[in-house]
Amino acid sequence: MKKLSLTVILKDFLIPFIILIAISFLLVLFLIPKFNEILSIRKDIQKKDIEIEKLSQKLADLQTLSEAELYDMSTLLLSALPTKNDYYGILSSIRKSALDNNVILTDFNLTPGIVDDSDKPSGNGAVLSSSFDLSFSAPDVSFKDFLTSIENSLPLISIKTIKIETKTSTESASFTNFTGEASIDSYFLGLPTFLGSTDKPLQKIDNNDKKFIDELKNYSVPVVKTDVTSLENVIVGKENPFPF
Amino acid sequence: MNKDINLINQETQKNLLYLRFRNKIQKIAFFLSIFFIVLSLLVLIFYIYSGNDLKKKGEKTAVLKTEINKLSKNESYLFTINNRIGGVRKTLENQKKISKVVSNLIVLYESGFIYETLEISSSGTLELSGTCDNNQILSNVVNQIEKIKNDGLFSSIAYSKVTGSVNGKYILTLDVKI
Repeated sequence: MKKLSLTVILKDFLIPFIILIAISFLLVLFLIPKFNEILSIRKDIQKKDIEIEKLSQKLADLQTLSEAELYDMSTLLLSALPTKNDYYGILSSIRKSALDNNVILTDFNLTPGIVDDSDKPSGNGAVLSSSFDLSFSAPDVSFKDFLTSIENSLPLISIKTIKIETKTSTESASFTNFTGEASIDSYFLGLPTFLGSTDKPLQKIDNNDKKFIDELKNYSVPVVKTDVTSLENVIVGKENPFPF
Repeated sequence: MNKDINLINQETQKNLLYLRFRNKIQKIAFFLSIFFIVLSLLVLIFYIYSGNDLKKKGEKTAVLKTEINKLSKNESYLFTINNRIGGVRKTLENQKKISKVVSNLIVLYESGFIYETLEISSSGTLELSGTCDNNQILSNVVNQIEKIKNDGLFSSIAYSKVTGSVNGKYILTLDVKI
């Protein structure tokens, strides 16, 4: 049997020592980083699973929707609440109602201010309004139909104040003429700039909403300014994808 | 007296102990190395598998997004509807439907009530003044106003002034809250 010496001891323990050193290096340089990477990948996979679930649900929901029906509804709502203050459209609508009901528009007074063609989003999504005044005269009570007509037409407007007076031409031949002054509010609402992320859940419309939109169909749309051809090429996620 | 006699000399005993210790250490080193080699392989396999899994899911997400983008028109229409419907609903709720009030009141003209003024203010107060030739028309006017109130168009009515003149004409002034 060989005698124990330092050289023999070192020789015998050199391989295990090298193995331990190699394992330590393996742990530090390979296993721990890879293990961390695996943890990170698993987290990403979990996120992807959630995203896939959301996207699948959204896709299924989108596939159930009718494009034609949605187009009709959105066009109707855009007619009711335009993206910008369309004075000309509203005045044309009022003028048409006046002509149809034998009412003469004697005067109108509006202050359009800066006319901006861009469909800027209206801040917090609140409906904006602007007022204008108009005067009219009518030979008979037909002005009531005129008022009904303008309140039941799109874009939506509200008569805020009204003053109607009767004027009799002469005492002997009492031709009564009605004159009126009304202050009218028109409304508009800008479109939001972004649709949101693709995996954002779809905000569906319920039956109450559909019923409400159906009721809007009873309103007349004297001036339709929506350009149907511009409704092509809508891209999700891009700036202002709205074709209107 | 019994006494154990150790036949192996001390030097050999030392050597044997050393050999046992060396063997143990070598065994531990061997098993540790096997264990870590297997562990490394498992980690590597799981890493590759996870990477592939993530890649596949990424591809699936991209396919779904493409499909959704193909239906983006539907989404933008739906977004427009949701963006506007609340505003339209609120606007219609706040609309006083003044035309309805005027239509209901103008019936009085057809029954002989001659309007002087009919004024509806922004606060929803209606001021009505006019004349009528006889008591019957006045009665009709009052009944019609009551009827309109019962239909829910007015929330309150206050007759501020009803005067009759010698020539049989009545002047009616009232404040109505819409």
